[in-house]
Amino acid sequence: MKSIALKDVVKNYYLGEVVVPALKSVNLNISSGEFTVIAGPSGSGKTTLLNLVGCVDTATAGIVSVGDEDTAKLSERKLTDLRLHTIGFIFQNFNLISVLNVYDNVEFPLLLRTDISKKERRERTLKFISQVGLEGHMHHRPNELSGGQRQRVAIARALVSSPKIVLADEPTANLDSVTGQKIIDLMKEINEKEKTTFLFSTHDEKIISHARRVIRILDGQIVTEQ
Amino acid sequence: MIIIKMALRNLFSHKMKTLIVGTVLILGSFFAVVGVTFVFAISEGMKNSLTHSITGDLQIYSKLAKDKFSIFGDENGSYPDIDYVENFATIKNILEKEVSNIEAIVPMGGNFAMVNPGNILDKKLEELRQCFKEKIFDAAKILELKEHVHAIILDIEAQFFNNTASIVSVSAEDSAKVRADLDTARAESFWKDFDAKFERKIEFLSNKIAPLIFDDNVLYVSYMGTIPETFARSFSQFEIVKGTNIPPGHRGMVLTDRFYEEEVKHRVARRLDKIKRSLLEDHETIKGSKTLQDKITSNISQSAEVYNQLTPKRAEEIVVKLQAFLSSKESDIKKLLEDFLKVDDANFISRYDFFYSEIAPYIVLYKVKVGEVFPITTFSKYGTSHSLNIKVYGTYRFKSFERSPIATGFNLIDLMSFRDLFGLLTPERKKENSEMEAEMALEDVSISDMFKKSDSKKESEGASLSKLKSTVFTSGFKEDFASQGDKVFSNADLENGIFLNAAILLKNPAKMAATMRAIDSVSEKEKLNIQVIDWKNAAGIIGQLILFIRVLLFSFIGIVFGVSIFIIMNAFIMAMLERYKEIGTMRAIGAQKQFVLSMLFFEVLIQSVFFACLGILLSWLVIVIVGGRGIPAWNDIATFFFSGSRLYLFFDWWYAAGVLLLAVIVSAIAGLYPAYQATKIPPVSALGKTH
Ligand SMILES: Nc1ncnc2c1ncn2[C@@H]1O[C@H](COP(=O)(O)OP(=O)(O)OP(=O)(O)O)[C@@H](O)[C@H]1O
Ligand SMILES: [Mg+2]
Repeated sequence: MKSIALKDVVKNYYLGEVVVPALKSVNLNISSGEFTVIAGPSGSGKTTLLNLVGCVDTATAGIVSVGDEDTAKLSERKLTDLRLHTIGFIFQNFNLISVLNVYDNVEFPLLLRTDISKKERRERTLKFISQVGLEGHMHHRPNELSGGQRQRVAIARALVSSPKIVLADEPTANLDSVTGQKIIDLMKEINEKEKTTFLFSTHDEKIISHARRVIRILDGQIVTEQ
Repeated sequence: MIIIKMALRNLFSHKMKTLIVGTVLILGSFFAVVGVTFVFAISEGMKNSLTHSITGDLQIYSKLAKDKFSIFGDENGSYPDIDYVENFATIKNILEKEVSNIEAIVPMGGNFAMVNPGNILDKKLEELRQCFKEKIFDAAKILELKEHVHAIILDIEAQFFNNTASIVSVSAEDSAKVRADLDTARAESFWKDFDAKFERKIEFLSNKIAPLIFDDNVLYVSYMGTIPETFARSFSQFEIVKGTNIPPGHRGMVLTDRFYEEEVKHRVARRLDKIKRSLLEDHETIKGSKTLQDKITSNISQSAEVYNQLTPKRAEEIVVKLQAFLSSKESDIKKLLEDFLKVDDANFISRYDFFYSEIAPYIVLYKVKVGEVFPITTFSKYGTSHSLNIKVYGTYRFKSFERSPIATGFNLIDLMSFRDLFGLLTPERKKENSEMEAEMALEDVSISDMFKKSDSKKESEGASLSKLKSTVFTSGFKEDFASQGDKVFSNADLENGIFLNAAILLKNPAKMAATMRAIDSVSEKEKLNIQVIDWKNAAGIIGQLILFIRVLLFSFIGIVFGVSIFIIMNAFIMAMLERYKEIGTMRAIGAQKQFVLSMLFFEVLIQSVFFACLGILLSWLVIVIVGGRGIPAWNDIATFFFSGSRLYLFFDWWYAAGVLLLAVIVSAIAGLYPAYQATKIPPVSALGKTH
C-alpha cells in the first residue's frame, strides 16, 4: 500500500525576480511501514521535500499524495487536519514548547483533537513517554533536558497521536554521534513495533549506512535509490 | 486547560513584555480607579455643599425668565433676570399637595445693593445724637465726642481741597459754598449753643459737612431675600456665627460671616487677621512671603484709617502706650502707628494682641456692626431706586465650607424687605416712575446711568462714587427712609407675595428626575407658569464645573488607555515575533489558526485581568489608607469642593469593576492585531535550520 507518492514534483522558490529551483521533477513512492532515509548534501533539497510531504508547503508543479489524498486539492484547514491525524513531525531543533513540561509537550497534539477522551489521552501520553524512556523526567521543562532527551520528547510527541507517517528533518544534526545513533535505533524500533512509515533526512553517512532504504538527492533531483 | 497553563507560563517567560504590559495596566487601572473615586468624591462633595446650603435639590422660577437661571449670578456676577413668580403661598400649597417627594420649599430672590454706613463723621454724629437722646446725660462722653467731631472738621478743609476736589470737579460757586459751610462749622458761636440746639446742629453737620469727607466706605452687598426661619431650618449647612438669625416677623439681615470679616471689617484689622492665619495655619513666614509683605506695606500706608478714627483724647493715651510698647520717644501718633504696623515674624503675635486689646476698641472695627441699623439702597431693574433702613441681626456661615469664598455673597434679608427693594412695578408705581424719569432727564442724571458706573466699582472709585454717595445721603438716609424697622409681620404676609426663585428640598433626592417631571406636569395643569431645574444647572458655572471635571477625568482615562493600547500592542508584537518558531511548530503539528488566535487572545485576557486586578488592589490600598484619613483641603476654595476641610474617599467596587472591564477591553483591542498576525505564521517555519 502506497503511503506517500510524488509524481513529477517541482518546487521553485522565488527570491524577488530570481527563481531558485529546489526540486526538479521528483518521482518517489514510499509504502506504509517503510523506514526511509533521504540523504544529500546541504542545499540539495531534503527539507524542501519533507515540507511537501508534510503538507506545510505546496509544490510548484506535480502531484504530492499523502495516504491516497492529493494534497493540492485540500484546503488549508483540511491540510492542518491531515497533519494532525496522519503525520508526526520530528525537527532538527526539537521545537518543543518551552513553557510546557515533558508530559504537557507530549500530550499537546492530543489536546488539539476532539476525538480522544481524557483517559485515553493520559494512557497514550504515558505510554509514549515510557517508550522513549523518560518516565523519570515527566515534569521537566525542555531547558532542563539534554539534547538527546529533548529529541526523545519530540519523538514521543510525534508518535502520540499514532500517525501513519513520521517525518524527521535531520533529527540527529544537533546531537553527538552516539546519541544520534541511539535516536535512530529508537525510531527504528518503533517503526518495527508500530508499523509507522518513517521518512527522515540526514547527511550523516554513519546513519545512512544503517538505513534499509536510502534515497540520494542532489541539486533537487533523486540520483540513486538503494 | 492547556491554554490557561500556557498563557500563565508565558506571562513569566516573556519578562520584558510582561513588565511593559504589566506596568501599563497596573498604572492605568490604578489611576483610573483613584481618579474616578476622587472625582466622584468631589462631585459628591460639591453636591453636598450646594444642595445643603443654597440650591436645594431643585430650583423653580418663572417660565417668563429672560435669562438662564444661575444662583451664583451670570458672567458679570449679577443675579440673572428671571422675572418673578406672583405668589409664593399659592405655588407652595399646590406643589406640596401634588408632589409628595417635596420636603420643603424655600423662596428666594437675589439682588445687589449699596450700603453706606457713613464715614467717621457720620458715625460720630450718630453717636452724639444717641447720647443726647439718652435719659442719663453723660457729659464726659458728649464732650469727648464733640472734641472728636471738632477735630475732624478742622481736618476737612485741607482734605477736601487737596484730594476730593481734584477728583470731582468743583465749580467756584460750590467751592465758595463749601468754605462758607466750613466757616460756620468752625465758628465758636456754632459750638456755644450746641447742646441746646443739638438736633439742628447735628443735622447741619451731617448734611453739609460729612459729605465733604471723601472715603470709600460704601459696601457693595449682594443679598438674597428669603424667609430666614425656613432657610435656616431647610439648609442643614446653615449656622449662625455671631448674633442671631432674623427673628420671625421682623425685617433684617444676616450677613455671611466671611463677608463680615473680609469686607465689613476695618481694613487694617482684616489684614492683620489674614497675616495671623497665614502664619499660624499655613505656616508661612513674613520673610518668605511676598503677599504678606505687601499686606504690611498696605497697612503702613493706610495707618491714617486707624488714627483718624481715634478721638484726640484716645490718641494721646495710645501714644503713651505705644511709646512704652515700642520703647520709642516718638510723640507723633502717625509715625508711631506706622512703626507699630511694621511687623515681622518675631514681633507679630505680640503686636497683633496689642492691636486688639489697646487700639481696636476705639476704632470702627466693623463698618456695619451686628446689632446696628444701616441704610441700604438698591437700584431696581425698572430703573427706580429704593432704600430701607435695615438691622443686621447677625452673621452666618455654611458649616462645612465656611472659608470658601463661593458662598460669601449670600447675605440674607427678609423677603418683605426684599420685595420692597425689588421695586415691583405696580400700575401706580409705573406712572410715578415715568414722571420721575422725565424729571431726571431734565437734570441729566439718570439713576440707571449711575448704577452702571457703580457696577465697575473698583476702577472708578472717584467721581461717580462720591456723587452717588451724596445722592444717597441727601435723598435717603436722613429724610425719606421709611422707618419700617420695627413693624412686625405675619407668616402669611411673608408667603403672600412675589419671589424670584425657590429652592426645593426633596425627601428622596434619588428620585430627582421623576420629581422634576411631576412638578412640570403640575405646573402645566395648574397653570403655575414655573419651570424647574436641578441643582447642577441652578449652580450655573459652578454646576458646569462638575461636568467639566468629569469630562477632564474621562479624557484623561481615555488618553491613558489609548496610549496603553499602543504600548501593549507593540509589546505583544515583540513577544509574538519571539515565539515565531513555536507558533509555527504548533501549526505544523496540527493546530488550526483558530487555536493560535484563541491561545494568544486568552493570554492577553489573563494578563489584563491579572494586572488590572493588581492595579485595582493597589488603588484600594491607597484609597483605604489615604482616603480614609482624608485629603486635606489645600485652600479655601477646596473646602467647597470637598464639602469640608478634608475629602474622604470610599472605595466603590462598581468603579473597580468598570475599570477592570475597561482594562480587558483595552487589552483585547491591543491583542487583536498581534494575535491575528500570529495566525499568519506559516507552519513551514517550523522546519529547516534555526535562523
Ligand atoms: N524559503 C526559501 N527561499 C528561497 N530559497 C530556499 C528556501 N528554502 C530553501 N531554499 C533553497 O532551496 C534549495 C534547497 O534547500 P533545502 O533547505 O531544501 O536544502 P537541504 O538539503 O535541506 O539543506 P541543508 O542540509 O542545509 O538543510 C537551496 O538552494 C536553498 O537555498
Ligand atoms: Mg534542511
